[in-house]
Amino acid sequence: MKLNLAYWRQIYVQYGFYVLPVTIITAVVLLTVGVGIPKVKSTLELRQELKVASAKLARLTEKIVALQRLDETELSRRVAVMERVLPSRKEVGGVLLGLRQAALSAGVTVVSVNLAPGELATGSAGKLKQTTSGMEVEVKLTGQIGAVEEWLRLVEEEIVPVMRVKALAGGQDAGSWQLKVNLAAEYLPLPESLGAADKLLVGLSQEEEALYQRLVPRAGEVTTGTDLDQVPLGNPNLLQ
Amino acid sequence: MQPIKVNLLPYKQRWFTVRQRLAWWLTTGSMILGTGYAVLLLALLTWQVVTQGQMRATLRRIDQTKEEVETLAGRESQQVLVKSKLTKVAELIRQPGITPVLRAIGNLLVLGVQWREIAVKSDGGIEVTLASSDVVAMGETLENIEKTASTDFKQIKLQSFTKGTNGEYNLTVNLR
Repeated sequence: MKLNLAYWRQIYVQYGFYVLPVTIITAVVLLTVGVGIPKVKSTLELRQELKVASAKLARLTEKIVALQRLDETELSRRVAVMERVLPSRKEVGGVLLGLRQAALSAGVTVVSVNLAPGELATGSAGKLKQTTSGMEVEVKLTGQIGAVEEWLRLVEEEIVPVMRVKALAGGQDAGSWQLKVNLAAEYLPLPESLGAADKLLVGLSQEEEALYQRLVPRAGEVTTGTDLDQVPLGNPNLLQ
Repeated sequence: MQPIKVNLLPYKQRWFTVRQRLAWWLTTGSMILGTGYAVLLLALLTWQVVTQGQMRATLRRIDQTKEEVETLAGRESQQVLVKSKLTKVAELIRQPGITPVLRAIGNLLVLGVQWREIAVKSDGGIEVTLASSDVVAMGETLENIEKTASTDFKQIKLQSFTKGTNGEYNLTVNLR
């Protein structure tokens, strides 16, 4: 087969100027589909991720500043106070001591104290389950009604750990009141985890600060640096 | 009949000129488009590289900050502990105590009537059981309690009124 060069030369002369534009337009279309659009998509996704990461970094930085601002000594003192007011474990000894102090101050006679603490603490105190009703304590006491009222007030408002009166039963006998008091000695197990590392550190509100100041005298003299430092606070690796 | 002679040369020349112009515009235009597109593509790639660099730097900084947070985890634990305990204590002391209830009920009892049991219910209500062998005194006490409906207690509900085998009347009321 013989190539008709004259024919092709004529075609080239007539339509040759279309070659470059068509090539360029084809390249633009192919590059847009194959490179441009995927790159734009991935870069936009990356920008979104960067935005999220920047926000996280800002939260972490804010948290670092807040943590560095905390006075460690004061914080330890606060922990000790709060641990006395609302223990992390079922403080049987503390409850008995508090009830005894209240009885001595109010002038009532404690006939008996029954406790059913159940599980006190396991290997990790953080795993102790919180019950809604606290640790149940039953106290039988005798005394004048005024003294009994004072004892109840002391139990509810003055002694530590915090206790709530759930039920009272009894009556007057020969001028003296004989009562059975059901109490709930409150406790709050340690949190199992501190949550995400970038979770903001929430400070105390004004009400909470005022409440803490009211609780300080109630807790009495506290010593810091207790064995609480050794208590595992849930997940020790915050990065997980 | 003589054939009509048409001189096509001017048309051919005009068409040649038009095609030349078209060729020039197409070539120039496509080259400008190609160059512009190349610049755009380069800018896009640069943007991606810069963003990737920023991302790497941010992640590195996050890791460093996390390590710093970890070194201060003790403080955080203590702060969280204090905060959670204070919240719980605030919630507990917000609940009404039994002492004011005892005083309020004591003031309402008439001679011969004694309270036997006072229990704080889980819904916040208070169940009081009164006992007396004098039904009149019991009635008067109930009347006294009803009178305080708007002051000491918002809601008073008579739950039961029974007479025991020992001849003692027992009155149970729910107060709120």
